[in-house]
Amino acid sequence: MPIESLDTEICVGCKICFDVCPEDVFRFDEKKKKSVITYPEDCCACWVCEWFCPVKCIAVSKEPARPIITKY
Amino acid sequence: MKASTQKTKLVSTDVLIIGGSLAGLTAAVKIKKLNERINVVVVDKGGIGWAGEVPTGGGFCITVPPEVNLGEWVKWVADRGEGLSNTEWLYNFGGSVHEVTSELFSWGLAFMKHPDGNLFFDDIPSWRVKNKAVGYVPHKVLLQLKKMASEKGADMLNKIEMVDLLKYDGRIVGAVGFSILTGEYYVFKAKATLIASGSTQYKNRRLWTMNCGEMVAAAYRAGARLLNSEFGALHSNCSKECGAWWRGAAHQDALVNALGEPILRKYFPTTTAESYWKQAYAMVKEIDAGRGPIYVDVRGKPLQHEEPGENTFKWAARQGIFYNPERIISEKAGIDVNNEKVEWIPGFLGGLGNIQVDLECKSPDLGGLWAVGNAIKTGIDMEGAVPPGEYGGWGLPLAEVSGIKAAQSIARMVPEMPKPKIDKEQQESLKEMVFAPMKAKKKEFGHFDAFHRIQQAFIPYKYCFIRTEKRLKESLAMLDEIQREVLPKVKVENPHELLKYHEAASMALSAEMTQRAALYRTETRGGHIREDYPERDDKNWLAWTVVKKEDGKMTSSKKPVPKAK
Repeated sequence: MPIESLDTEICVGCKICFDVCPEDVFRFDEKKKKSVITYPEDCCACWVCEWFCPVKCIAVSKEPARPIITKY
Repeated sequence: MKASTQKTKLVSTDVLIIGGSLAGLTAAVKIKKLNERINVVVVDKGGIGWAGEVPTGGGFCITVPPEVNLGEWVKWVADRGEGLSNTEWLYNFGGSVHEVTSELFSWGLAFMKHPDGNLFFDDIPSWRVKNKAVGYVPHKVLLQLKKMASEKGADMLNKIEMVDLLKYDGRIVGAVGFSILTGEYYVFKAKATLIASGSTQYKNRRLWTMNCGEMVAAAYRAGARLLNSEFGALHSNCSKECGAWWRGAAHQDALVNALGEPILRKYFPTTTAESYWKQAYAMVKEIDAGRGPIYVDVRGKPLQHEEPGENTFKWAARQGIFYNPERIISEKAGIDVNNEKVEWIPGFLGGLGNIQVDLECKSPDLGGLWAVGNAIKTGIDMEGAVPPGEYGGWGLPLAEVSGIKAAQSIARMVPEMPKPKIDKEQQESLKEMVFAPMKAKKKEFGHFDAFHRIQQAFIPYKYCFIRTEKRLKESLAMLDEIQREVLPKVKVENPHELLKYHEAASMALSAEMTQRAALYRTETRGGHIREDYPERDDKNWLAWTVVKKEDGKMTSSKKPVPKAK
């Protein structure tokens, strides 16, 4: 999966990844106040969560999630 | 799980804003500023303040300040629109974008400023466009707008996928959707419904957007006229390694073939504007001729952030905006563009936003409905015969200007509008439709099957860029099969997958609109390329295409472009 990990020890529960993910990959655990990678198969490897995470606790691979269609 | 077992939540409001990104939040703030007694609910499938295309955009906005001659500016754009530009809207937009920009700056949003505290205007000479630009930090601006709207009493509902519009007596009276967290069915009853949920994207690459055209599809089903859908598909280009696109790559001579020859001017010798589709066309032709792969080669050339003096690119990069392609190419592809050429490939982006609106962003077809931002991109077709994204820096100001115009119209009309009524039968039948994929007994297809098939039927260049009747019909046959045979057999297990199903259904319908309009326009003009009709045909085609649902079927017709005033 392109999204590799979310370090819950470091996560501060700001919800930015949960709010910004274009593919609805995250859920938010309201009890633990932590984001949870819930639907990793939908990750499109856009790196937006990784970039905006204020404590850099998310790792997303460089590999694309899907092949880019260029046939013509 | 039966649809009838889903809980229903009814929300009544004066104004329902579908989409909580720049256009929707600008409208929410402005409506509240104009009349604080008007109730406003903003709903989004993402997290409002971080949703939509804006947080990952470059933060550049064109503006037309008073010292720029508006008539000349309109003519400059319209000349490049090959006869299809909506000049009435160009005057509407160009004549108010500076005032709107200044108003938003006065709200205290995170714009780039001069040391004296005034708004910073940039020429951005590399764009070769006769207007100025201002810059801001898009994700900060969205959070500021969200806070302002909340403080003024607008309600915000996150993580709700909106699916369809409610109609009563031919008017739009709200919309329905479901929570992607709990699966609850949401029914919104509203005097005014504002679509601000962007255009259709097709999930074929690292997209940085969650928009899939759900409300474009809903407007179609409700009977709105949808214009110029053949131009609602952008063929762009990007880094092979990391998928980043880059306006810096658009400098005409930066795209080179395997022999090191610049390629763009071979095909468009007189082009003066940076154009994604022209670049993509040149790339396709060069690869076909055996001169691929294509590279972006900016070695030894100053990059935008290295141009002398201060500019919005340099400033925005320092503010921590996400979309800094030089950074992404460096970090993710490991390529230093100063010292290495970058392999570059054609790459489809999509972008169908074809809802027709008048000059105050009101639907002329459906009372109670307004639409703004990228949802009206080809519906108002300012740029003419080009796909979305032809000019950089148009998306944000279109969202702002249309958001303000819709807000003024809504704030004026809503106090006089009657309380909406809802057709209970429609509410229940839409509930069945929304939750149908949860009821399927057997899983013949999953949502990835649907996405993949739609992409294969639509995105390849032979179907959606360099077109012929035969190939468009092939594409339409596949899209028809997907809608008849695949989507009804998708079974989903949870609200997340239900979201994906509705995204796929909207993508399939949007792709069909584009292909039907492309089949109907029997000529080549600008970014609409028909190999079987290679000439521009002004006798028959100084016209906008219109797609509409009639008697359950998608029909195509045309509407002459009004004479420029």
